[in-house]
Amino acid sequence: MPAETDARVVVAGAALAPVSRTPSPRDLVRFAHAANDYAPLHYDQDYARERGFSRVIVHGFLKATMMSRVVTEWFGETGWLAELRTEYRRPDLVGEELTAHGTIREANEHETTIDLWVESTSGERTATGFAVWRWNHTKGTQET
Amino acid sequence: MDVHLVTDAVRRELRLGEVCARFRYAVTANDVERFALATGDRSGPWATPEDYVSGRLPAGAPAPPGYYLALDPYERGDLEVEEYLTRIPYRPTGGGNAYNHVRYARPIRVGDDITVEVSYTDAYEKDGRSGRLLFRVRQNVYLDARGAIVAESECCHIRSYDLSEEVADAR
Repeated sequence: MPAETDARVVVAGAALAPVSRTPSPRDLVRFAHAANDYAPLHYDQDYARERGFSRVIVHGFLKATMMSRVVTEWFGETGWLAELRTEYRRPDLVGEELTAHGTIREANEHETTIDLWVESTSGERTATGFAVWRWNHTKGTQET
Repeated sequence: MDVHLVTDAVRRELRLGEVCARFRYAVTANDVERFALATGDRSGPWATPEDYVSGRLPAGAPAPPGYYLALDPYERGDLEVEEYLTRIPYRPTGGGNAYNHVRYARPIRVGDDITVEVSYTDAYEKDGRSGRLLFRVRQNVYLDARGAIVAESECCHIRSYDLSEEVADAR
């Protein structure tokens, strides 16, 4: 666990370790099964072409999980993720590398807010959002 | 002529502000492990040593934060209150999610018996590059077996239409 996960040393502007993955068609089918999301745009090549895409597109929710991983992999078991917002800016085609990033927006002894985004290889932010991490030691707000 | 996708009939059908459906889902070790594996999430308390679904995650283990999406009745295809979409007489040109926002009172856990109450809170339209955009905003309230709130989420879905092309069945 990084030393920076200690609430006392988390500072605004600090960058968290990014999370990257290049979703394959198999990954999308696996995610569809796990998330119970069988929208054809994510597995049916013909349907995707009819909708104007050259290939099937990555689930927006898969990008949301990459964003949450940036937070949970950094902060470990020091608390829990109490809030997560994801705004979907642009679809991503299967087989393209995506990287989720996070920076600390603000921090106090109770919770930390992290700005999050997913970037394509062209540098475009295709999803943006934020998360709120609540520290376990916070009196009265520890999850049960 | 001014064309509107969101009519009084649509608003009535969505029962804006009212709970329009309830679904009950069990949270099993298999489900949570499958979600963690599919998302590549191997570092949290939801991770197991195996790289396959073993069903050995103990009761009470938290699910990854994104797991609420797997219990969204709309995305699962369990919610059938959008029949009105089939009566919109224009060609749909696309659609997708605009945003999701979840606030947890506590993590969802293996062994939870979750009831999801769905309500539509808003429906509106705007003109965009791909035609007229129809926005529907949904709220899900996730309750545990005791009726306590576990999480609340807001999701906005967009569907776009080409208003220059009328169709008999928009499905």
